Amino acid sequence: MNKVVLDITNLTKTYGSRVAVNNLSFTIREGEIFGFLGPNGAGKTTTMKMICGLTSITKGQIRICDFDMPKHKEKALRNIGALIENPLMYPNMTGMENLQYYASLYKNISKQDIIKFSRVVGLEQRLKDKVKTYSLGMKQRLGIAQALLHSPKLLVLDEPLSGLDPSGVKEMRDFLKILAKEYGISILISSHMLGDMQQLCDTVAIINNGQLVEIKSLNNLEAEIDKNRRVQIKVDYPNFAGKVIVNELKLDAEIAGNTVLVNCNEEKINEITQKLVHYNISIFGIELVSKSLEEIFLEIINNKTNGKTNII
Amino acid sequence: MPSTFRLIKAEFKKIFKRPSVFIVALLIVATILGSAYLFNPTKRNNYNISYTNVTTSQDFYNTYYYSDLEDSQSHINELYDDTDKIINYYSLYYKRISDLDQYYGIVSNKINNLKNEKDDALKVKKLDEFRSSLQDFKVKFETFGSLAYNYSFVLFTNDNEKYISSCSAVNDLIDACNNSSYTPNDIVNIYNTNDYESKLKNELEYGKYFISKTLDILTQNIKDDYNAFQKEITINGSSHINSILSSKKTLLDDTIILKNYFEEITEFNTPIVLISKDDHKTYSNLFETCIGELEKSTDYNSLRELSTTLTYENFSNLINTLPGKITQVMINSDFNTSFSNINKVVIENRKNIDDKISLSRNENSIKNISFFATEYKLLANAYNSYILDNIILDIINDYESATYLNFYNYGFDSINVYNLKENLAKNLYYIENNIYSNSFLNNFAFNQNSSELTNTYDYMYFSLEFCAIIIMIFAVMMISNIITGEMESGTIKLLLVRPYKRSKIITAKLLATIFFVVIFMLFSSILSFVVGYFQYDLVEAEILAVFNGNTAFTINPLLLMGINILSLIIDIIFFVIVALMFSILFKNYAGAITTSLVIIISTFALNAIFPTAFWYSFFPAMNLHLFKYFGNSFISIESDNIIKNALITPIQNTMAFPFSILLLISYSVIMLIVSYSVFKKRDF
Repeated sequence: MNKVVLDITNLTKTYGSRVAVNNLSFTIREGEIFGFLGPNGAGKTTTMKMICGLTSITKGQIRICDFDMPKHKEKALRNIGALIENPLMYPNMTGMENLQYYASLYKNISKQDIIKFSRVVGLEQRLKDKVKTYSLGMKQRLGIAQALLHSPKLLVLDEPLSGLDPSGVKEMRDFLKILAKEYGISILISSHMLGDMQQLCDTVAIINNGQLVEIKSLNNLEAEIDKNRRVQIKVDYPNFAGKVIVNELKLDAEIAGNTVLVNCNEEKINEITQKLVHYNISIFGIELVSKSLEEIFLEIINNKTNGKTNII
Repeated sequence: MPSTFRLIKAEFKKIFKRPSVFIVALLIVATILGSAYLFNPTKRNNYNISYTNVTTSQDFYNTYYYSDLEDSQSHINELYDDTDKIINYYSLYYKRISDLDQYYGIVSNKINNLKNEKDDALKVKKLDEFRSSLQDFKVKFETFGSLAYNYSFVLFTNDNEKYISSCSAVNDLIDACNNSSYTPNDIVNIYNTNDYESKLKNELEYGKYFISKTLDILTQNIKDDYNAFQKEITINGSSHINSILSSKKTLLDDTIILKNYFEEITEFNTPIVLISKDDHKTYSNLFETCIGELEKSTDYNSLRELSTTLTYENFSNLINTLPGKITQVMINSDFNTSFSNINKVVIENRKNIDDKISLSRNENSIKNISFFATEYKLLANAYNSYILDNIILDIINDYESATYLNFYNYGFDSINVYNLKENLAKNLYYIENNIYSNSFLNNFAFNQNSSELTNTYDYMYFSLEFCAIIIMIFAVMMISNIITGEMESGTIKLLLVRPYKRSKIITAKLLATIFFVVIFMLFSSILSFVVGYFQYDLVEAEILAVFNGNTAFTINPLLLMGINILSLIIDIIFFVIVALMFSILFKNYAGAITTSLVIIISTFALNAIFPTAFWYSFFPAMNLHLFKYFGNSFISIESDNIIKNALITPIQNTMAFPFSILLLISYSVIMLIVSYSVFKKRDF
């Protein structure tokens, strides 16, 4: 088992009577990419702020590399690199000057280190330009570079993928994976984009209204996604087709416009088409679709919050 | 500590990456050059001596003293004599008070012995003792007149006979004691039944407050004269014009005596009585009109008319109230000894200087004569001011009514007590150390011209005032910007996730700003020194400074300028702390900077509005500019210019260096505690 980098137990944050984070507990191990999923206002950023010492803790405990957060703040923060909310730097300073400024806050960070990390994030060529001339993606990468300067054990990234174009997202994803694999850095990353998280994270915590709904490892998540595949069939008489599928094949089906959605795997496609042809229903197209993660996510949240048994 | 130092360094580097820093530097250069153009030194003349046609010390020595030595010496000797007279008056006064107290004590002792004595034979002896003690008391009561006359205090001996005879209770008692028909028991009875105890006490008070007593006698005389005059004019017709005229003349003469006496006591060269300015005016006018009317009327009809216009209400009654309007001044008895000590030192110093002058005269060295003559004159002035200022200071301290009472020609309200104390310390320094340097001749004032030449430091003081305002405004903007600016842009979050406590981050920002202030103040100082050096003269003579209004010392002007620069830096730091607090409380730049600037501007405005209000002395602004505690006379010049008043914060009576510094520290500590605790608890 790898070492525990971040250990959170019963973390609670209240603003007056409003509970922003409620009794949250989880751990992150060395080299683990931990996804923090949840809709806006779920408490992701607040939790991250508490981890980084930007916000006070109402109740509970945060331990970073065995240092208690509010008590040994300076030692705990030495192991964290963070990028919270918009990565605004000093726009009138160049990328190099910005990085030098942050480097000067730590002991023994040489100029070579700065250049090394800017190469890692791919900003080497633009270091001499002022930050106000950077694109959003470049600013994002500069933000990550400043968080990496002091070689932290844990990288806390709040929505680092938002605002990036698809190629940028892919690039960033690959880059973060390399960081975790090659440098052994644990990453806590928050997002409300589930597709990204699926391809990036080892573990995903789903959080809603400040409460932890579920923690899933990536494998479990993939199984869940497999289980939730559907066959989507375009037909001329969807209502009739639906009835046929439900009655004859004993499968769950849903009708949406002129398509029928059937909850089943690809093995059943042959059977279904035979039945439909048998009843002389015209098929315009058949497609195997995954249930969107958003839907799964909502299902999980709804089930949890409605007090129903977990369907996953 | 090294980690905090790293933070400070980082913050400081960041400050110097701002383009505004170069704007400040340019503004400072412009201000220094501009102030060199604006600086318009005026010739100082705040010292008692004014020399005509003397512009340089060379002129002063070569022409003035050489030609007018004798003349000026007689003037100086007069000054010494006047001062001696004042000292003699007070020493005489205190001797009299202590004598009277002592002999009155003996009198009351003796009468008690007599009362308590049971043995009849011994009673006679006790009566004798009582009688002789009364006689001693009477002698002490009377001697003052002749003593005063010896010291040419003519005013006290105007009506010496009447004054002495006014000691009636003592006289009556002595007569009774001499009367052989009275037994000792009778004397005791007479003493008890006629309440001689309180009568004697009254006499004692009269003896002490002899001015009031004399006034009583003089006004009583006038009252009698007035009644006699009115009687004459109602009983007698025009045929008795001569007797009417003679009664009028008596009235006129006595009125003139009272008028002269009144003028002598109120216009004496040292304050010996207190009278309000209004009363002084009323009585001066009254005497003038009455005497005028009395002199004018010589025939019967006009005298008749005069008797109706000169009614009891507007003349006699008013004159009778005069003694109550005048308070005889008693000064602290400690001064008596200190004055006589100073007197001895001055006599010694005078002798030394005289010896030196006569030696120089023998050698025919004109330069030396004029030099020593200057010393002689300066000593006379120092001596005179020291004694007078001490008396005025004591009166201000002792008489609560001093705030509304005025000496004739002395406005109490216009006296700055701190300046008075400072002058005392300076003059004492001159006298005790026997140092009369020409550079002390006129107070060195940074905002005025030096004694003969416009000094580089004069100009430096002037230009640095403006530079300090510019640096203050920029420093306030700077601290607001590096706190609220980072909060607004969100970069503060990238800073707070560093391994530093929040208190360290605030400390770093504060210290970086202070460092910025220090660097720019030094930059301004050096620049203004260079400009001043090429534009004006560099006078390096030692300056006499007074710390906290009581400790006089000589100091190199460069060092004194250093103290001034330090005090300006402290002022700026104070406002930086104000801005720090508002930046943390307000979170946005516009709010923080507006509040801070409003506070700075209102500070200057309030300085001009409430410079003398007691409650205002607890305001931080009043206690800023600590340089004033090294010489308030350097900076406080009497001025009707409201802008000048705003820049100068005078020192009030209740203020002192420890008071100001403690007050400033308390305000700063409170603001820092608010800043740190609010910032520490804030969620970002």
